[in-house]
Amino acid sequence: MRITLLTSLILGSALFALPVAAQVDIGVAASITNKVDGSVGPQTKPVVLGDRVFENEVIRTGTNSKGQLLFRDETAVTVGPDSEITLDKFVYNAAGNSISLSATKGVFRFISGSAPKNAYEIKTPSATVGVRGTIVYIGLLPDGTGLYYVGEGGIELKTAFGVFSASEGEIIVIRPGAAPEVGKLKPWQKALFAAVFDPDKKSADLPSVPGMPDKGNDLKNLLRSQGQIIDCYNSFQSEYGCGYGFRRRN
Amino acid sequence: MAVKSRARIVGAAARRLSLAGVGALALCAALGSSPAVAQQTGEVQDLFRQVLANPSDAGANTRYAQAAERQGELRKALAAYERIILADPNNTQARAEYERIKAALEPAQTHFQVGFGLQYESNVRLDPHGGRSDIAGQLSLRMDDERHVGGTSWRTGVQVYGDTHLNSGNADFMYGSVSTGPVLTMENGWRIHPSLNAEVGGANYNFLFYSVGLGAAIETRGAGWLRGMTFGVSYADFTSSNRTGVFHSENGRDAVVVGGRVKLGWENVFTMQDFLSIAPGAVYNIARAQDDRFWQVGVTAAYATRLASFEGGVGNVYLAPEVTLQYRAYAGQEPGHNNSRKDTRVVPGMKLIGTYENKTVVLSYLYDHNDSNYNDGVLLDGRQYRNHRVGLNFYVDF
Repeated sequence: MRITLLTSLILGSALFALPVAAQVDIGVAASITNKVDGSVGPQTKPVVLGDRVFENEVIRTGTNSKGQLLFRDETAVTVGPDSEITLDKFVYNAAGNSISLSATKGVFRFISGSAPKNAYEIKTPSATVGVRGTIVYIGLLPDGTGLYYVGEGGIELKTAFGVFSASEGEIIVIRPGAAPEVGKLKPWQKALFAAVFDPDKKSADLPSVPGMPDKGNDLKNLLRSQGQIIDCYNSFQSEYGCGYGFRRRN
Repeated sequence: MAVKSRARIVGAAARRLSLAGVGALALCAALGSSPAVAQQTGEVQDLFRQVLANPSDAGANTRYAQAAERQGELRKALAAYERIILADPNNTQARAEYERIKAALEPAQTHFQVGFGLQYESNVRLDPHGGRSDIAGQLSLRMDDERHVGGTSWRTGVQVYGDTHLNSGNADFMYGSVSTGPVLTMENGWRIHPSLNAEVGGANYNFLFYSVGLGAAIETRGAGWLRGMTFGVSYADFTSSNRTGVFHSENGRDAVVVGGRVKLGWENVFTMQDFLSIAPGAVYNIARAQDDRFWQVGVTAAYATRLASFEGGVGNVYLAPEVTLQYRAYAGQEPGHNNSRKDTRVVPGMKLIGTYENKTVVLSYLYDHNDSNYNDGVLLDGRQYRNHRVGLNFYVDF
């Protein structure tokens, strides 16, 4: 009886430990804002500041929530609100380097670490991102549109339509079923990335477009005459467009 | 430090996993981390281990950021300062460093916008007795550029505008402006943009005025209610040969204009996607002629909320009510009056804004309502008037 119990305990412990042994610590939750969950296998638990993150862990953020994950190779991934990313593979040692992530929805900022650039791979539903630079912003919209903005360096996207590259300051937009387009960052795109652009933001921003209230973030808005078609830099007389102010006398 | 780090790894993992797996995990972590630790050498790596062990430690992050910057790895410094700010939003030193690094990393950006539209006005001359309505076609172009010049961020803006009226040709207006200057990061993380500004205006296809001036915009950082401040001083020179139509020009309007405005803002006031802005401001127009000289105080309150969103946020519809209150007091008396002129202006309005990718459409209504104590005797245009303005404008960004 005693032998049977001991055997059961050993076997039970070995079986229970099996999936745990597969977990590889790859970094830490370096900042957490509001609700961030991590799933390792069937287990889902809130991630708090300082928690370790593991290979194959799925990180999910809630509304008005975000987190920065810091990997052992110094890579920093900021996960924006309502986002999901899987930390697929992390090999960073003398024998070789291979770091792979799968982003499925939301917005992210990826700052590469000390591994060679060709070691990084970010899979998304519409493309696989090869990092040729160091700061990349990714936005995966609910309708399937993917946005890939290069903050520094460059990226190479493998898509169903071929390989596309973008350099610093450029953005690649991939709409469902359409060929990727390379262009410059637009105000509406910048607004979507607000939570990972700005440490003070926890959600997408209202875009700075004509007609919007002035948020006072930059000069053009500070001096904008509240939605009028034209600004008026020096003629402070007018609140409603330069020309309009001059009509007040006849 | 590596030992401490591994101990923390085991400790954290133990909290998240069953007790039965701790031994196996400890072994795995110890084995798995050894090669990586061996690879991380040098000052940056040593400091990084401290950060990895305690990612919210401001001191460790600062030392790591400084070492990374010395090695030219600004991106690592950016992430480090961000961690400090997220842990302590009031750390102004980290915020200043973050803004400085961010500005240094920011790619050059040039933004073009073309706008066109129609505007209906019920009283295009601002006639006190109701006046004449008209429709104007409008066209605008603007370019905003920000790039590094000699290690400093430099911002330039250019704008061109013109409108033409269906019936009142003498109300047509043209305008152009340019503004340029550096963007400097202050010690507390705010940014200041001193600028040299110039503008020129024309009416009825003739020259009307030019203006040159100096401006300064202070852009605050953080989630506080103070969003920015603008100050400016300029000299405007008017032609004396453009006295016809709805624009009146004379040398007496030549002026030194001093102005300032403060921007206050709040996000998520009533809903998850809204914004409230309140902008008080003051102007002192030191015109050559006493009856053209005035001081003015005012405030504009504007609110925007998202009504609808489609295609996953690519397209949005916003509602934006606003109101402007303004008080203006002139220094001198006009002929036929015993007192100096004082105006009170109230302009409520509403905008419906649709955005889709780089396209914006704005349907706007403003009720411009100006009351003046010069409301008897010789009642001139622009003194006491009512003007309904309805606009439909389209903008495309490039």
